[in-house]
Amino acid sequence: MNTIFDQHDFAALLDRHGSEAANWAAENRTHALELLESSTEAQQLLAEARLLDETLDELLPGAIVPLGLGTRIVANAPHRDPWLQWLAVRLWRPAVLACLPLAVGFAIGNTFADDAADLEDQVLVAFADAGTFEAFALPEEE
Amino acid sequence: MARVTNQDREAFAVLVDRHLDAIHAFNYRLTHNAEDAADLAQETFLRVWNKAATWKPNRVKFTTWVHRIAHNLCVDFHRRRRDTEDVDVDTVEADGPSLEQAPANEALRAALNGALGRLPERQRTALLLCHRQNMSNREAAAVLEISVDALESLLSRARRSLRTTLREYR
Repeated sequence: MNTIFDQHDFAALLDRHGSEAANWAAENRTHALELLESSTEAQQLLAEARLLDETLDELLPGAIVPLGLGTRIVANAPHRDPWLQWLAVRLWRPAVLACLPLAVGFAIGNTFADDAADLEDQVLVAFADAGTFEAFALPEEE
Repeated sequence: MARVTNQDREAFAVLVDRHLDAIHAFNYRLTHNAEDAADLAQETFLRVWNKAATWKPNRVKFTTWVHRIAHNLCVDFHRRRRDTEDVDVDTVEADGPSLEQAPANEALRAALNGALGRLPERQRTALLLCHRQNMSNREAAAVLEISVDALESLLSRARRSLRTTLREYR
């Protein structure tokens, strides 16, 4: 009896990989085959898994491909310009990268433009002081 | 595939010829309807044609990629149908695979058929990919875009549910 690999491990192996020994994980296959030689419970588990797989084969049927489907698929494939395809697939990433500095510049410019407008308002307020304004005011025409 | 990317219809025809059976069978097993399976197969290969340049051969095998497209289309198909027709679970089960062939144990087959229909979609697809599409667990995990551990968890839960049903009828 294998003390490391018991029937619980074997049941888990069957759940993960099915009843076909070729599909079992390589690291467990030898242990599983050894267990099968000595354990009737393991043999029953395998028989059960085989029955399940065989029934699944019947319950998941294949289907006959309708006549002419392949030809129809190829005929209906739309014509595309390979150059446009290349542009669409290959160029969009570089295009986004190229536009990124522009977007960043726009965002920065927009932020500082607001600050500049505020500064202009402050200067106007400062010069709104009557005395200062008169000093800079043009002399009135006589 | 490189030739398909360059609009080579002959190469596309070879590709369709090589993979149509598997994709059509996969769609049929997920939809249980021959017409829907054919429509979805057509849509799958149309996407292959349109998106050939996006396939990355060093990352994923072509069979995995095309099954992933087919699976996503089937999921969308079921979602659309659920939204528009408000299909209830009992109806879906009744539409399951037919049991026309002479069964050795009809009650067991019918019970397993029902249990299969009641499995969550991802568990059923995992089982289908590994059991009928002959994919390794790694390939099936790549189709469903999950880890191998997550796939094996889906498989374990699916087989445990079916085994419980099996034991009830033996």
